[in-house]
Amino acid sequence: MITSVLIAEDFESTTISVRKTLDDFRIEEVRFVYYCDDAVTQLKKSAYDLLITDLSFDEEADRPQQVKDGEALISAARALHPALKIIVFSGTAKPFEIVRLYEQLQIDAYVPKGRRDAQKLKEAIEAIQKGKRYYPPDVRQMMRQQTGHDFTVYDITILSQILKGKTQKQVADHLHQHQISPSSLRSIEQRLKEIRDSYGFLKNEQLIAYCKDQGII
Amino acid sequence: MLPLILLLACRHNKQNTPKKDWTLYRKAYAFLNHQNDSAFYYFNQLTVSTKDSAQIAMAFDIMAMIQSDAGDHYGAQESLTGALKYLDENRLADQPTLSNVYNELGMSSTDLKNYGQAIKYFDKAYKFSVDSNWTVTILNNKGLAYQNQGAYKVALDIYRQILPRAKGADRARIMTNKATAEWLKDTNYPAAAELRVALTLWQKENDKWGLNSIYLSLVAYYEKVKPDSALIFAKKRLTIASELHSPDDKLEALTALIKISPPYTAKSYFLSFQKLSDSVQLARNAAKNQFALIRYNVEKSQADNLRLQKDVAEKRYQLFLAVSLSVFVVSGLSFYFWWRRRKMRLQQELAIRDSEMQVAKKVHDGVANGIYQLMSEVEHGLLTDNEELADKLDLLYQRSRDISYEKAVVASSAFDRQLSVQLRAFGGQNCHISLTGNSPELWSGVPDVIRQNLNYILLELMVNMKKHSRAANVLIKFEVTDHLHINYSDDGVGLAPNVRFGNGLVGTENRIQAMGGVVTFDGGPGKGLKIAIIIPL
Repeated sequence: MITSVLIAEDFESTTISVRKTLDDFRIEEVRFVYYCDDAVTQLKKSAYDLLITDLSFDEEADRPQQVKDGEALISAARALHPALKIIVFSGTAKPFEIVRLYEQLQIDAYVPKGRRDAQKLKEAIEAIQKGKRYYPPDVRQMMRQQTGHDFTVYDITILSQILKGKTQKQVADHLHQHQISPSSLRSIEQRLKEIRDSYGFLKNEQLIAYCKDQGII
Repeated sequence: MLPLILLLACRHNKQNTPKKDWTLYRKAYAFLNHQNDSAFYYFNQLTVSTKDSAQIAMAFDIMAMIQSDAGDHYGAQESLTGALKYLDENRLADQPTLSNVYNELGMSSTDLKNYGQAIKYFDKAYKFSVDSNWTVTILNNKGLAYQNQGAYKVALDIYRQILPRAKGADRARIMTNKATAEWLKDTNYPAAAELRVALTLWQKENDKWGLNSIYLSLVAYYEKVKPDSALIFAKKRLTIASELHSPDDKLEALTALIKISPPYTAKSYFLSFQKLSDSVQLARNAAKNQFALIRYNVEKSQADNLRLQKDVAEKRYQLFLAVSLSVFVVSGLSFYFWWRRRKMRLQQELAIRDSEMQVAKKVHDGVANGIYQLMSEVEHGLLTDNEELADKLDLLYQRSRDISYEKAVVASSAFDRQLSVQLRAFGGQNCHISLTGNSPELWSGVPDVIRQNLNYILLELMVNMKKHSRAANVLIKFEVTDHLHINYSDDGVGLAPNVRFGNGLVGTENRIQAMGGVVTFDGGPGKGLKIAIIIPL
């Protein structure tokens, strides 16, 4: 259950949607802050269940902020409370940027400001309470389209080693020797599965053959 | 026979008033009479270093004196001929030097026993003489030339003519010569009285050269009539000749002594004579060689100098060529780079202005117009339903938000994620898009403008891929060296022959070229498409 919520929103763009929605959920502790630095101070003082934050904050000349925007605030918050749930409530992001927020910052929901955002916010909180993520419709579609893979140096190292005939155990040793992390057998298996899935392959052999064919490795 | 009496007049070393740079002349002159080889060296230097012809002529004149004193008469004549080249008979200022040079030529001709020529030179010297005392000297020399020729009468006429006008040393010299000539003409002539007067005069003048000559005459005169006196004067002459370091006179003195001394002493004189005679020959050759060597060295160094100057000039010319060529190349290159950068900047500025205008237009068309319409609908009571109003406002809100998205710059740290999501979003069930090399490290070295442009370019390529290629697999490789390399490949239908690029691809090409980059499209029908983009960083 969510009992405490911290809301970071620029004074200018404060909405009634958030307040109304939270009222419906009868949440005990709701705190509003207008600056990212204040949000960080609050998070340091006490643990919250949920952070709802905007992405862009007006730069105030008389109060220069150390934490300047929503992304920085999310990173700082995650560092303080790894289990904190985070909803981004903003009108400023493009769909691919939103995908990035899910991928990179591991946000739990993105709710775009706009018509009927109170309803969407409600759905998001409900999803989070069920231990799920919430995606806006266009983002969901975009993420569904994401096929193929963006190969990192790490991926290419693993695949090249397997192509040479090494077992996954030997690959793990190789990574360990070269101080490449994560080098555990489990993380290698997991990474290979991720890549296989994005191409719809069932076996590593298929993936290796594909990568060789395409000139990826 | 009596030795010839050589009583040539001393030189007329009258200085012209220094006008130009006389430093070297003075320096050379300072060595004269005590270090004649140094004097000769510096005078010779002067003849090649100065442009003042008067100085050159005077230098040659003095060099000739030094040479003839050392017995190098031919060398002296050569120098004098050199001097004549720098003198103009019609120039009044040159006339004293001309007179001097001709007198010197006459004297060296006398020394070389070329009396006819000597008389011609003395006539010329007389012609250019501007000083009556000097004229007396020249005439005395001329008389002596006649006397040596044996024309005693002509010589005596000259001596008699000039004797009343002569004073001091000149007078002594002329008296000596006259007495000698008289006596040579008529051996009974009582020359003793005149010679004694001349001797007193020379002694008064304390002129060693004069004494040397008067002793010679006295020895010759007394040899027959009073051998004792002759012996005394011969010994005196040897002393004075030694003091004068004149080997010729010393030899003459010794000859006389051998002749008139008693046999037991004559032998020692003879030995001295032989020894001296050899060394005189050596000294004379040495003198000739020395002066010739100095002149040769100077001429050679002058020639070397000219060659060196030519070499230096040539080298300078080559250097000049090289420098101007490199300046040309460097300025050409910098102009080219400046021009290219300017072109790029202008294009970027143009692109920015274009997009700013587009934004303004979009705000006007999409947002302002929409709000106006909505406003009039509310004003005229056409909108009664709040839901409808909210929906219409949401539409306008979305539109304005879309406009603000277009200009957003993505930070380099997030650019790889943006690209990854954006590019892979063009895939689907039947199209797999793979990327390699797309990392924050790679993009950290790429300027904002280039990233922004590449974003457009890559999206355009993906749009094109999605529309036309029917590709199942796409690979985009990113790599940075000193250039950014992007290699796109797909397994689609490839390029149709005579393919005409649409606006999108043409725009892509323009953008790449504006960044100074290169793009190549490759792949025939059915072979898939390969695109290589190279952008300088």
